[in-house]
Amino acid sequence: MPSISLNKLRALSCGVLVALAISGCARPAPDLPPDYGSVDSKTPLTADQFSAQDLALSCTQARQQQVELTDEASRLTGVIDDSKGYNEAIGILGALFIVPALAADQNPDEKRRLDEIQTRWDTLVALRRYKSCTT
Amino acid sequence: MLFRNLGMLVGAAFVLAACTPPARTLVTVAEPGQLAAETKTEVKSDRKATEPKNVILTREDITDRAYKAIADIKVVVRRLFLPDPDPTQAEADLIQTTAAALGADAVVLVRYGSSGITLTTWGTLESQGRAVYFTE
Repeated sequence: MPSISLNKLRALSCGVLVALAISGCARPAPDLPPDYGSVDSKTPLTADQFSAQDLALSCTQARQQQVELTDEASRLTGVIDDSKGYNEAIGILGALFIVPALAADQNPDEKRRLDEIQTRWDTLVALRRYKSCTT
Repeated sequence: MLFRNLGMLVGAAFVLAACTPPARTLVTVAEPGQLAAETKTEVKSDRKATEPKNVILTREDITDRAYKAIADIKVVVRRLFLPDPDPTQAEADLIQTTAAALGADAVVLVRYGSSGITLTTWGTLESQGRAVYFTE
């Protein structure tokens, strides 16, 4: 049976750990909502899908919130893009088993917020259809 | 001798088959609302294909024209090797071409993930959207 040194085993384990640490760097596209927009939709929108505060929003107010969400999403995307080079460097080092203990910067807060923004965006888009907004 | 040559030929064929590079772009097409489902039924559209450049791509819904959904589309762009370029939003907009092939007039509710390293790639970017056609 071939022998494997303790150092090699340690390096291998650390490499696997780094690979696992960076495996969550990409954020998947959020799932699409049900098809409420088709003329023959089986899941049309109803008032009980929205909160009372949202139902009280005017079309202009809903649009304004969308503009603010877009601005915030652009800013957060910039933060995530800025750390891409760092993550890549960590990936290379991890693959070479050189600096396996480094933690990858995965921007979890920014990614969580981007998902929240998409959820809110979907609510506002649905609300604007429910209220028959045109602008 | 013949068997040895044949064996080498088969071996070479196996090696070459294994060398086929995996695709940079993966496209999934599903019935509306079924992208996340474990089993997806094949989407068949009897509509004539449209021009990709004429297909509207929007993060919004379209409320001033009635439409019917054809399919939900997901595109995954992968940077498989380090020297490859990073996935771009323009590549992820392949949903437009896919929707055009299904005869769509627009892709609504388009959304993107954030590009980043995964366990098997040096960068992955996802996009999703709903292909629709106008009924009036």
